[in-house]
Amino acid sequence: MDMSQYLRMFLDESEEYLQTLNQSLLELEHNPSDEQLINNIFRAAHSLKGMAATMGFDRMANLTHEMENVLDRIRAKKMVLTTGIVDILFKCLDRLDKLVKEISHSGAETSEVDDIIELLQNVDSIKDGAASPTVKSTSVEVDLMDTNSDEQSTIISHLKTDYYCYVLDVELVKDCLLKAVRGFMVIKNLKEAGVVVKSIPSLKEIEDEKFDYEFKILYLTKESEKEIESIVTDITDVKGIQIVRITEDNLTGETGPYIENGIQEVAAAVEVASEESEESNAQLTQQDLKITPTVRVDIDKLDSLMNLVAELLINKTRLEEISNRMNVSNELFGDILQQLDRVTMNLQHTVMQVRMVPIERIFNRFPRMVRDLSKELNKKVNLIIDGAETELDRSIIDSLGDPLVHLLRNAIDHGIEDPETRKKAGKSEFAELRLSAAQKGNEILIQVTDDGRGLDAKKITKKALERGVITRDDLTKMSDHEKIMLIFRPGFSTSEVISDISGRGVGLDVVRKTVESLDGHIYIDTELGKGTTFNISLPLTLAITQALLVKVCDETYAIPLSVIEGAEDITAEQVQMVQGQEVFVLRGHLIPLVWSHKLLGLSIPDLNDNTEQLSVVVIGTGKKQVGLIVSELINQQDIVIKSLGEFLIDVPHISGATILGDGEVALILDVRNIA
Amino acid sequence: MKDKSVQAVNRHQYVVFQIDKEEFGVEILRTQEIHRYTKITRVPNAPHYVKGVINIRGEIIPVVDLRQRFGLESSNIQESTRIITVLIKDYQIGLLVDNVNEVLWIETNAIELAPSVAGGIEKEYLSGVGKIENRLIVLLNLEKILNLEIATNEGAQIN
Amino acid sequence: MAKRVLIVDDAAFMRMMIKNILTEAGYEIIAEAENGKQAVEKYNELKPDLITMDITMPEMDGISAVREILGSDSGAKIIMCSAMGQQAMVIEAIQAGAKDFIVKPFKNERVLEAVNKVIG
Repeated sequence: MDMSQYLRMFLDESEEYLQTLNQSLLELEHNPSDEQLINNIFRAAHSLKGMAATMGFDRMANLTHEMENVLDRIRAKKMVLTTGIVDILFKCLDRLDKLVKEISHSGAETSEVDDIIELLQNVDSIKDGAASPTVKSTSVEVDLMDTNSDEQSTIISHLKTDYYCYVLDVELVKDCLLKAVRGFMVIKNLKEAGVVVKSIPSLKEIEDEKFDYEFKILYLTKESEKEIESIVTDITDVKGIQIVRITEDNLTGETGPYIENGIQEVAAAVEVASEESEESNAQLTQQDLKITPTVRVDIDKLDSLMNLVAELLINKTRLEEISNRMNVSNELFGDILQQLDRVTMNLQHTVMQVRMVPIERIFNRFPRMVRDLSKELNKKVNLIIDGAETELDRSIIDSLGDPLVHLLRNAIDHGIEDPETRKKAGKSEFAELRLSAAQKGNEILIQVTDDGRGLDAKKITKKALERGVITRDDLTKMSDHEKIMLIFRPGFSTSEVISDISGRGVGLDVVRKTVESLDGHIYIDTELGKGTTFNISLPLTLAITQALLVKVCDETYAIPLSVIEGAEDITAEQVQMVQGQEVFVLRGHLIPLVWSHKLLGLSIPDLNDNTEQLSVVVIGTGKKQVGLIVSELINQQDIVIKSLGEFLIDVPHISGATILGDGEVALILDVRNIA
Repeated sequence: MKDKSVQAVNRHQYVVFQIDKEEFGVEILRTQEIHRYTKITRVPNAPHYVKGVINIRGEIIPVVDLRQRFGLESSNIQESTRIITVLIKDYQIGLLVDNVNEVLWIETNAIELAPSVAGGIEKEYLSGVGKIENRLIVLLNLEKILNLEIATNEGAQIN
Repeated sequence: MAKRVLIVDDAAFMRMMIKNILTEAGYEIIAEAENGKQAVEKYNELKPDLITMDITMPEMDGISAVREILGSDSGAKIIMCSAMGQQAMVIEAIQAGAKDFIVKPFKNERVLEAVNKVIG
């Protein structure tokens, strides 16, 4: 049988298992008695063994077999897990990782495994033929029951006291602004008239705007359906609500599983009974039970799918524009357009979602790295990871690994002091290194924060001068933040000794370049003696984004909303001169002004005829704000980002193009570096 | 080797177009489509001979004003103005020309090496001159003209 | 009798814009305030039917003003004026008792929709 067709899959899955193993083992080190973890590790090792044996990779199979033996004894409490054993197990994982890489490279295993096998066999004197594993965990169901017992009892007790139970499906209009707030208002008003048992997505996710335009709520109230409807639809921007009451009949038939499996079952059952589409039913079940059948898809196929959706979106916009222009009032035509709009929208979101993967994928490998690195450098570091579930476009995630590795290494190597120094400075010996991800509107913010020594602008400028990165002349014009940002310049390295850890020939300039190539930006917060935060903000997806359309000298340009902090109309009198720079005052802050036509080298300002009023787009780039004066603000819309191609790749201040509803091309302004 | 293949296919089809009074040709195999003039979105800060970009079925395609590329006055848009899209290294580029005349077969042996200047254009941008009866058709070396590496302001100064 | 509105915003331009929209729709603008402190004073003095309240302002921000006003008169009706990206603050304001919000840049129909809903 030809196994080569399975090789790719084998390699992918092996990597996943190794990641799981690494992660679980780390956790196990802190919670040695967690049986769940031991089971997880055991299962992963076992699966790996089976796969390797099937593919004929004997060394991997032997190694995992020995690993399994050790784990089995720990599981059966015949052996106590010690740091020594954990270290051996880690060594074992490293070797497996090496073997996988070799197979990926040359198709064969080249590293020996006997040394590690010997270590595994000698972990202690007890050696009995380990039992073969036959573990089948039902952990998923168990977790579900745990988390929902409160909710169950809430429902049961309320139903006894004249409350009704409803499943509400609330939809917001799609041009809704600050939909998190709308979602919050819906829930707040509902809470005033009843009990919100749970929502999908969760209440927190709704407040964090992690939903499209719809969310579902399991609700207990004494009010009628009509009353609920008016409570919810009274709120601006609520498009509609579907209310399904869960009656006694629904419940009695389902009492058994209802009690056993928690509220999800009820919700799912009701969904089936109601006229909800099968799709949303499936969605609900999947989200709740976390048993998601998956298919591996080539990323190229997703790319081309995304392109097709983009085409569709453009053509839909064109159609709408034509219908507006021709004043088509035909009802059927309007219906079709609306349908098309809905379908396109759903399609776009689905495709985008398909491309989204949790950032966990890359975060997972860091605990191990941090553990090893801090051991090596004799530093004590607690790594805290937040928001690993945050989702990002796959293509962005793939490029993000290396920059984050670099920042973490940098933090441990340079940022964090050794334990004695920390003690002397009155800090805890254990440094806190925090890696977090969160969605903020249309952006993802990733932060690497340490509580180490902080960055010293003086030292940085000294070094920058030495290395010829800047001149003394440059220096006089720089703010502290700009000085700090010098560490991102090519040819700059803060370390006296080029260490093996973060030195590896690449500097922070590469980190910055990578982030910017992803259409994101990076900035630093730092306080001497207190610590440093590297902030990376990234777009959710590279293909479609929200933008503000503006006119500059008769041409339409798009500015991604992710860099916009607001739009202001100011009068010519509000423009002041400060040190030769035009500025205006916004909420007590001086904001420098940039004329867009000058930025773009366009000579004919058409702004003269209406100098009374100036339209200013406030661009925020990390810490700085700049007001970009444009001829006119048009509107805000979703745009499909297209490349200008190689021929025009280096055009300053233009990052791409998009196609407008009328088929014309609008350029996308790259304004991140005008500040 | 090269001679062999030339002899095996001893004539090629060319799209013949006009700039000022001169006739130029590009191999038909390189051309994608010929479009009527459509609104071009100018690209600020781009090389001066790049007229801008256009949308062709969802693709953003840069348009080069050949007149400006050759250091002539920029084109006046007229009824006969066309944009010829050509493929260079998998990359589509539009050529703005005054007029597209016809498609012609030109015998390989009717193509002469370019003189040092033809139609006011430096030799390096030409791949030869095709002779048909008493017409002279200047055959362009698209790679050279639109070479991505020399497509900068610097490379454009050919006067 | 026309409903009486108090407009609170530190930017004169913004106040003017809201004023125009509301006046045109038949509301009476009885006063303007340029910070939270003034807003509280004007509210206590004039008891308007509605307040439009900017969030970021000098002296006292909009959220504190909402708390103070509702603390002395729980029936006060307040609409927040927010900018893009201020959702956390808007949520705070709603939690404090503001009735609704509008987002800059303002569109006439949006502003009126919100105002009509609250006091229409």
